[in-house]
Formats: sequence, C-alpha cells, structure tokens
Amino acid sequence: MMTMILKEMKDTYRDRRTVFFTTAIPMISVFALVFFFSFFNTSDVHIGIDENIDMGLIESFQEEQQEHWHLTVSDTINEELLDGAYDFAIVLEGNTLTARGDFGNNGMRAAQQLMEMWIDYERESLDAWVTSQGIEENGPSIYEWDRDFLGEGGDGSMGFMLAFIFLLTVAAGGLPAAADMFAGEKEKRTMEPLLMIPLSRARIFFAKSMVVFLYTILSSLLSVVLVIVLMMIYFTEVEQILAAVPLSKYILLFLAVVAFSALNSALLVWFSLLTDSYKDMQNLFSPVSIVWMIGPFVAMIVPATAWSSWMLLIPPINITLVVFDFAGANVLTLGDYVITIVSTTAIVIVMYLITNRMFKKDKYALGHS
Amino acid sequence: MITLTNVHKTFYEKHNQSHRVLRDISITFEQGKVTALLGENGAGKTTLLRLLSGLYEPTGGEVALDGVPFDLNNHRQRSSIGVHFGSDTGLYDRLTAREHLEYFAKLYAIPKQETKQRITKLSNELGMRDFLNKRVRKLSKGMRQKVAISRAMIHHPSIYLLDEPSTGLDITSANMFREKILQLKRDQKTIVFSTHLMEEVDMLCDDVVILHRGAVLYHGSLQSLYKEEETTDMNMILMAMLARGGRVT
Repeated sequence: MMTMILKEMKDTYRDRRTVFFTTAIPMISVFALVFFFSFFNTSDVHIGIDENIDMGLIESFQEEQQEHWHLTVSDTINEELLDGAYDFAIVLEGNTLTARGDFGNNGMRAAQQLMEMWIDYERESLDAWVTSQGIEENGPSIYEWDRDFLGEGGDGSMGFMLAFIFLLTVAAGGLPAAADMFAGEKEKRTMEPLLMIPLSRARIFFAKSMVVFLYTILSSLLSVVLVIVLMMIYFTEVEQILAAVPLSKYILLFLAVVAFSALNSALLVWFSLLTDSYKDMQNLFSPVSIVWMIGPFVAMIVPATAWSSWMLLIPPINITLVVFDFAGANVLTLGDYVITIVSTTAIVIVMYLITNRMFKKDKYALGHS
Repeated sequence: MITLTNVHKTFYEKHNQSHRVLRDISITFEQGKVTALLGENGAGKTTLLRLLSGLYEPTGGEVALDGVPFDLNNHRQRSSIGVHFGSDTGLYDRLTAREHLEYFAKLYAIPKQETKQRITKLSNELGMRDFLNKRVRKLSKGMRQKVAISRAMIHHPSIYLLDEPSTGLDITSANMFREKILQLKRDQKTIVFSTHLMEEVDMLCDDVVILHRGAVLYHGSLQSLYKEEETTDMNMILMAMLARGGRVT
C-alpha cells in the first residue's frame, strides 16, 4: 500500500498542474491578499482641508495625521477636488463639515479617523466652554466613547484573511490530485490494471484517498503558515496577537486544520468517484469551493459574543470560528476547539465509509456497471 | 484452466435500461493452449476478457480457475492472471516504461533484484531497451503497447488475457510478441487473446472462440474448424459464419 502511495505522490508531483495548484495557488493568493490589505493600510491619501475651518481643528488634524496622509489646506478646495488634487476633502458648509470625495477603501478609513479627531476636538472645546462658564466639575456628565475589541484581534481582519485563504487553498490544493486519483484514472483507463493487483479495493481506496489528503494538507498548512509569516511582516500587531495565544490552541488549531483538510479531501474523493473525467470533476467541485466561503462571511457578520455552540458543529463555519478565535477573537474555549475537531472528524469518517463503499462498485471505480 | 459455466453479463444504464453483452457462455480455456477470441466489434470479446480477469463480475453463471470459483478477494487467484487491456493501454503518462514495470512488480511483491532481471529479459524479448527510461507520454502507440504487454507479464502469471495485443505493433515487434506467446505456450501457460489479425490466429492458436452479439458461434480447435469449413482461410471462415449468424454445421 505504501508503494501505491509513494507512486501516486511521485506521479502527481510530476504533473505541473498539481504542483501549481498545491503550492503556487496558496502562495499567490496569500501574497495578493496580504499585499492588498497592506496597500490599503499604508498607501498615500491626499486630503484637502477647507481653510475656513477652525484653526484649532486643522491643527488637530495636522498633529494626529498618519504618515501616509498628505493634508493640504486651501480656500479653493471644491475646485481642486474636482480637478483631482485630492482623494477627498473636508469642506465647511454653514456649520457642517462634509467629507466629500470619491472614496476608495483607504480614503474611507482616513475619513473615519478624521471624524474621530473632530469628535475629540468638539468634546475638548465643549469642556473648555463649560469650564469658562463657571459650571462645577461634577455638573452634567460628559461621556467618552472608545472601542475595545474582545481579545487581541482588532477588527477581525486577520481572522478573515486567515480563514479566507485557508478555505480557498484547501479547496484548490487537493483538487488536481483528487481528480487524478479517481476520475482521471477512469478517463485514462489506468484504474483497470490497478484493480487487478492482489490488493483489496478497500486498501487501494485507502492509499489513493491518503494521497489526496496529503496534498490537501500540504496545501492548507503551507497557506496558513505563509499568511501568518507575511502578516507578521506587514502588520506589527500580529506578533502581539499570536504571542497571546496559548500553545494548546496552536496544537488544536493544527488538528482542526488537519480535520477540515480531511473533510475537504473526502468530499473531493466523493466527487471524483461520481465523475468519469477530470473536467467533469472540476466542474462539479467548483461550487463547493464557493460554499466554503460562507464561513468567513458568517464570522464577519455574526459578532463573537453571538457565536453559538451549534455553529461549531457545521463545517466550514466551525473551522472559520476557530481561525477567527486563534487570530484574536479569543472567545472560544479549548472544549470548543475539540468540538470542532470531533464533529468534523465524525463527518470525515461517515464520508470515508460512504466513498469506500462506492469504490467497491464498478459503476464508481471503473465508470460503468 | 478457466471454466465459464452459463455466464452472462448485463450492463445497467440510466433509467433502468439494460444492455445484455454476454449470453449463456460455457467455455473451458485449457492450460498450455492459446485461444483466440474472434468476432466483430461489439461482439463481447473485451467484456469476456474482463470477466475472465475478474474485473467484471458475471450477472449470472460462474467463472472458475482450476476448478475453484473465482473470488475477487482471493489474491492468489488474482496474482495468477496477467491482463492486457487493449489498445487503450491504461498507462500513466508521467511515469517511464521502467517505472511502470517496477511499480507493478512491487505491487505483486516481486523482490527488487528479481524485478531488474525480469525487466531486462522482457525488454530484450519485446524490444523495449531504447525507451525503457522515457516517460510514457513521449512513446508511440506501439511502444506503449509493448509496455502494457510487459506489465501484464511482469509477475509471471499462469493465465494471460490479452485484448488485441498486437494492434499498433510494427512487423518486427509483432513477430517478437508472437515468439513470446509461443514461448509462454511451451511453458504451459493459459493464453486467451482477442484479435482481428487472422494470420496471427493461424500462427499462434490451438483453439478459437467466435462470438456474435454476445453469444458463442463456435468454440473448438482451429484444426477442426478448418476441417469443418473445408478451408484454412480464416477471413473467409469468419465472414461466412457471421453471415450465417448461427452455429457452424
């Protein structure tokens, strides 16, 4: 059986398409997404400020501005904005400050931060005025507003990115190997001599499934490690987030990734058995990779405090929550991690039993009955 | 020796449509004899070979090897069969010819040193030395055919089932292959092969099975067939029998 696993690994490895999907796709997606995120965090933003705005507020903007902002104070701000001199501008109209512009993602973030500076300035101005009116300190309460995300994970972007890339690569990574192992072998008629060897179909099936699993796990682990390393390079807070994660969660995350990779492999094998050609297999499995993306979006929409235990039973939502938790949400217990691993593994076992049974039928193993 | 008793095979397709490919076949393929399977395209030759190999299970009837009913889980029985699956050779494009033979030898648990000797012997006998280390994707149809035949022979089975083995072989290679079959016959192996080359039948075979629409039109020795049909022209015999569509008189 080991002979078969090694040969299948060698044969698949020689296929450039497989190597590309297994290693290059995760790397390209990781680089692209990290670059995308870092670009919108650090790329230059040109901001126009209306000269008629209170000088104190303008100074406040200038003092607290980010490195990649370029603030220009002008009295012809609207004209310059229309000429394309700024990404957006803060314009005074009556007593209203309007952030006007064609907002890209980065500009939107800067506008949000400027608004927060304005709120602080307003509060300080109000405090000063109240004091100047001789009102006692314990007069009307003035509250401050702050945001404190649960855990160390900030706004969850690291969790989203990790989960998104993991699910993307786990779906793509094992696909060529799975298509080759069953649908491809049926198409090329190489399954027939293989079924003639003195090994039971169950063992042949196990060996082939193992190859699909190994390629899937290789691909997914590669992507997870790569995305963490790159994020550590680009985002300074990531190191702090990861340092806060206990070792037990690292181990359980690894097991959860392995379990989900096994589930994805089992599904790939199932689809490969159902189809008789490489192309059919790819066509049939593509929608599944889209379904996997539900996980990250559910985790983004549902706040960490509203995560329910039933969500830990349903892949891909459970693995996504685990990844989000690992990346800083920090609301899941070790038991929750174990539930995710056990529930995913249970589905894998059921899938394996079903597909193993299917492989014993000529209709699925050879493509006819 | 392989014995088929009242064997039939039906394929089931979508919407419960069935297609009966073999009908009530009772034949014995004896040890030390070469038997040719003849018939038009779609007569059931390939299905019969796959059924003999155990790759297909009969819908009804029984297949027995040396008197023991064929059991897919009996690894000794499976190891005793070498199958060549036709011009659609079923080889892995990314492996070399040598890697194919080494892989299957390993699956049949043949020791490494022994495998080396067998590969050298087969490559000499079938003329494969020049391309043993080339990947299959780069080989011509005839070369692939030789690799597939060698794969069926690497574990020295006692029964050889070959589906149109000489298709695509050049004249030199075809002669090498025929010489190999005669040598296997001398070694008391059971050989069953399908072919459309009548000179090959004349050259190699002891017995002939003629199939027509899944049923046996004739099963017997080649010499008896010549005698009954009063000619040794196999093309003529076959055409006449298929035209009659019934058992030879």
